[in-house]
Amino acid sequence: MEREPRPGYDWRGLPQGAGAAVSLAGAVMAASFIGFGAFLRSVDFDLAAGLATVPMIWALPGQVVFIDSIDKGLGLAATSLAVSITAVRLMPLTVLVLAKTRVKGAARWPELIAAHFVAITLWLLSNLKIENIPYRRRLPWLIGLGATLCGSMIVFSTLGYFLAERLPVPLAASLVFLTPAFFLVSLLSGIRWRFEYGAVVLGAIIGPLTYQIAPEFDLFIAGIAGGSLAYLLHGLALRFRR
Amino acid sequence: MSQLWGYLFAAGAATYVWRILGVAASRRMEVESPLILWIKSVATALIAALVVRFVYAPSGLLLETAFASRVIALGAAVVGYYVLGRRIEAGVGSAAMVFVISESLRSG
Repeated sequence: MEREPRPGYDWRGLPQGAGAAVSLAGAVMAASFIGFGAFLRSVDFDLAAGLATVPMIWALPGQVVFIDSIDKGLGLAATSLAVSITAVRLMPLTVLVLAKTRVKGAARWPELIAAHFVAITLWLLSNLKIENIPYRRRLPWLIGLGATLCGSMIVFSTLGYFLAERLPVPLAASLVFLTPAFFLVSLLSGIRWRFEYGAVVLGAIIGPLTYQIAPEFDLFIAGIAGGSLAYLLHGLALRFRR
Repeated sequence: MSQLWGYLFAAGAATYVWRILGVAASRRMEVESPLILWIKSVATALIAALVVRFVYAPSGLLLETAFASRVIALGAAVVGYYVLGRRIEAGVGSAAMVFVISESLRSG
């Protein structure tokens, strides 16, 4: 199975990407993973399994939904479905991130590694910095950045877990609260189209309403209904404008 | 215990599926095709629902905080973000500050 050498990636991008993890967005991410650690503590979650969600799921919404579902005693199917639904978002993010890294004729397997590290923060950082990275270094750069963020966040989660025990309740709770605050602000900062404001508002309204009826599927219903409605209204608005 | 890890593997796989689909799709999908935009819209609404769930149906430590603190702090995140030049850290910082102040006033 010996292959002839092909034009490929320049792996000097790997340490370069690792260095790029030290950033403002990385600090915000660290704060929200401290919050995640505090959240683990606050629901008395098994520390090892809680930390393992960091490299195994590597998407804070999915991790939080996983912990919350286990805490609420949901079954395997409901838990996996709920986590999977929050991860739908990673598909377009992966497309968007990888679109800027393609090297013609290069091996595809590193894309599968880079894809594992795709998250909101990685996407934000790549938006900010990847244009300055030479093309053949970009995918290694993403992997270096992602792996460094992922490894550091295990440390920050552990820190948050133990901080939560020692801090007064208002402070510890505010660490937990960093997570939804970070999600909301990241959502707003990621908005490119006007209908996405509609999606935020509709999701925020439909979620609590469906929670009263079907608490296991509130996120699923809010996402599909709110997101589709916002998108349809956007289509209608475009049509009427013509 | 081992059941928990089984759940975790399932959840990890359930997440990675979307990443693989993303890799596959990146080869033939336009970055701003209607399908991608719809998916993005659904994902956005879903995360928004997750955010507000922290406010109206919190778990763990947040249960010990006031509903009002959580609402005000979330509002502060939005206001802080837009007023202070659309910076993520400004939004998150405002939320944390307002939350701590509101909770301290309540318990102190």
